[in-house]
This record gives sequence, structure tokens and C-alpha cells, in this order.
Amino acid sequence: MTAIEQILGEFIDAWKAGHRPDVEAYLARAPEGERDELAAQISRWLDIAPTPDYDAATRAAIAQEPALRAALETTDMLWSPLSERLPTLRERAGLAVRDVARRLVAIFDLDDEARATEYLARIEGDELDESRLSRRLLDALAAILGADREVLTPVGATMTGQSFFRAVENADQWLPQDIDALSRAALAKAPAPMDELDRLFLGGPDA
Amino acid sequence: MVARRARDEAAARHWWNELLTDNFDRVRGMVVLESRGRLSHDEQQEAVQNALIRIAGNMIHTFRGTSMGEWVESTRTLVKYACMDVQRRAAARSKRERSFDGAHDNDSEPGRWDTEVFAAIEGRRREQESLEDDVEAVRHGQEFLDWAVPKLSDKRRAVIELDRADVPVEEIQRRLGVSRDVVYASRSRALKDLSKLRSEYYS
Repeated sequence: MTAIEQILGEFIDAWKAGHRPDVEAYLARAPEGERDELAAQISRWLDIAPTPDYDAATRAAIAQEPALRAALETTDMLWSPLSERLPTLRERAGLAVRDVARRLVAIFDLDDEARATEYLARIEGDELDESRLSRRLLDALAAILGADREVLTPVGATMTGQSFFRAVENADQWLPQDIDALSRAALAKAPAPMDELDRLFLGGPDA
Repeated sequence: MVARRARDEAAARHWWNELLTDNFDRVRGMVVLESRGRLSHDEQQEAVQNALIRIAGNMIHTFRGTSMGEWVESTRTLVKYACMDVQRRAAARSKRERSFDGAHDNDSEPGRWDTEVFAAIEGRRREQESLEDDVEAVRHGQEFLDWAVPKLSDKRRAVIELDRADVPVEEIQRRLGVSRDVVYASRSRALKDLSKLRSEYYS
């Protein structure tokens, strides 16, 4: 039996027993010239490995892992509306709304900082429909705030088609009202064409 | 309805937390292997954290897979992107730090660094979206195993199937009537065969 087979065998036994084997420590045990081969085999194992049946103490230890705790904290944020997430991320980055606006217009080579500030304030004031924000805008905000892109995804994007189309209480009352509102909107004068800044904030995900 | 939605959210959050906890070591292992020699220990921690956030985000926003094989395949892709992003950010940070050391740079170009990071984020999102569009690519993870495992020799297949069923090594020895050395050799060779079959399958 080769050294790789022995080390890999022990790694897999430790994994299945829920002993949380340290990949780097096992790799370090292999002769230098054979580490890539061992890494490839451990990698393949991780693709097919069953999730170990951890005991309570081990689960508690995993729950204390800093990377997991930080990730869960951030994941919690994903549930709140962008009007709450944006100020939190902005303050964490030590930036005022105007600072973000200044950097935003610089990214897109625009010159209307005041209007960008106003748009950002409207997001934070929950006065702007999150689903109308463009993905480009969210990418730029992630770059400015040093945040992960996923943290800025609007909550609306989490809803499934079933959530949108399921009838809830009083559907018979609001449906005629909605149709009436749509009819009036159809007859209203067309809004002014959007410029680049408007498109970023109001043009929808693909704008 | 609000109460029901709150209950649904609480249940979903609990389930996702459990899933991330259960798979923390798998994700960490994937990050370590994906970023060997490219990321420092701290950067690897950052990549693990980012990968977990993405996995959670992916489950909330886009993931349509159903089997463990599809989940793992999708996780591996997200780990790859998380490592790439951390590496890009580290490169941007180090470039910025070098620039701060220089005499000529100041903050007269506030968007310069943002633009570079923005371009990287945009690029990564586009890559990821094109991958997510290809649901088949994710589904292949499970299909590959269904195709590849039966191609292994009898002993190797038996060992790897018992491993995947979480059977302890002593029990595998007893059931197959072989020594521990034979189990270790068979499992290593089975994983090696799977690597080769994987290349064949995806080519």
C-alpha cells in the first residue's frame, strides 16, 4: 500500500467518524511530490462524501467557527429589505450617502452627484421599489461598500412565482382596483425618457 | 399571513443554518484544496465565509437542484468563484497599498479603484449567471456518478458505495472479508478512477 492510500484512508475514516480531519494537516503528511495527487483524491472524496453524523459537542464546535458565524450573521441580513441593509453596509464602510453617490457617479462616468444622492436616500428611506434597481448598480454598490454582491440582492428576488401568483385574502376586492389602476396608467401621458442614472435606479435588473 | 410568512422564514433560516453547519468542513476543505498556494490562511478564511454566504444566497435566490449531488456540484462552483474573488480583492488591496506608498497618488480619482473592483464583480456575476442558466451543468454532477460508479471494478465499487453510505471501515472489512489495507487501497484507486472517468465524461 502506498503512502497516499494510507493517508487518504485515514482521512476518510476520520471524516466518516465525524472527527473533522484537517485537510492541510493530512496533505502535509504526504511526501511533497505526491501532495497534488493526494489533494486530487481528497477533492474527489469531498464531492461524494456523506455528511458525517456529528455529535452535539462537535456541532457546537462547528457553530463557533468564526467564518461560519460571520457568514450566518450576513445571511441573516439577506432577509431584511435593502432599505435596512444599505445603511448598515454604508456605515460599516464609514461612508456618508454623499460619499457613496460621489463614487457611484465616478464609476459610471456621470456628473449628477446630487441626483444620485437623492436616489440613494430614497432607497434608504424605503421610497424606491427594490425590484427596479439594476444589477449594474448593485455591483457598483458592492464595489464601493466592499460588500459581497449577494448581500445586496433585493428581497423581492427571493420570492418564487408561486408567491407572486397565489391569491390571498380579499383578492376579489383588490383585483378590480388593480385593473382600474392599470387602465388609468395606460391612458396617462408617457413619462419622460430615462437617462443613464434613472436607468440604474429605475430601469429594472437588466438595465 | 404575516405570522405564517414569519414562521416559514424562521423554519427556512433554521434549515439553512443546519445545512451550512453540516457542510462547513466540506466547504472549508474545498476552499483549501481550490486555493492551495494562492491564498494565505486568512484569505482562505475569507473565502470560506464568502462561499458560505453565496451558498445561502444561492439557496434563497436561484438554486433549483434537488439532489445532494447537484448541491455539491453547485457548492464546488461557488467555492471556485469565492476563491477567485478573494484573490482579486487581495490583488486590488495590495495594488492600492502600493499606490498609497507612492508619492504621486492621492484621492483625486475616487472612482479609480472602485471601477476596477466593479469590473471584477460584474465579470464574476456574468460568468456565474451564464453558469446558472445552464441547469444541465449542475445536473451533470449526479448524472456523472450514476454513470461512473457502475464502471468501477467490483471491489472498488463495493468499497466506495459503502463509504458513501457512511459505513465504518471495520464494518466494510467485515462485509467484504478484506483487510483494512485492501479497503484503503481500493478506495484510493476508486477515487482515482472517478477522476479519470470525470475527465472522460466532461470531455
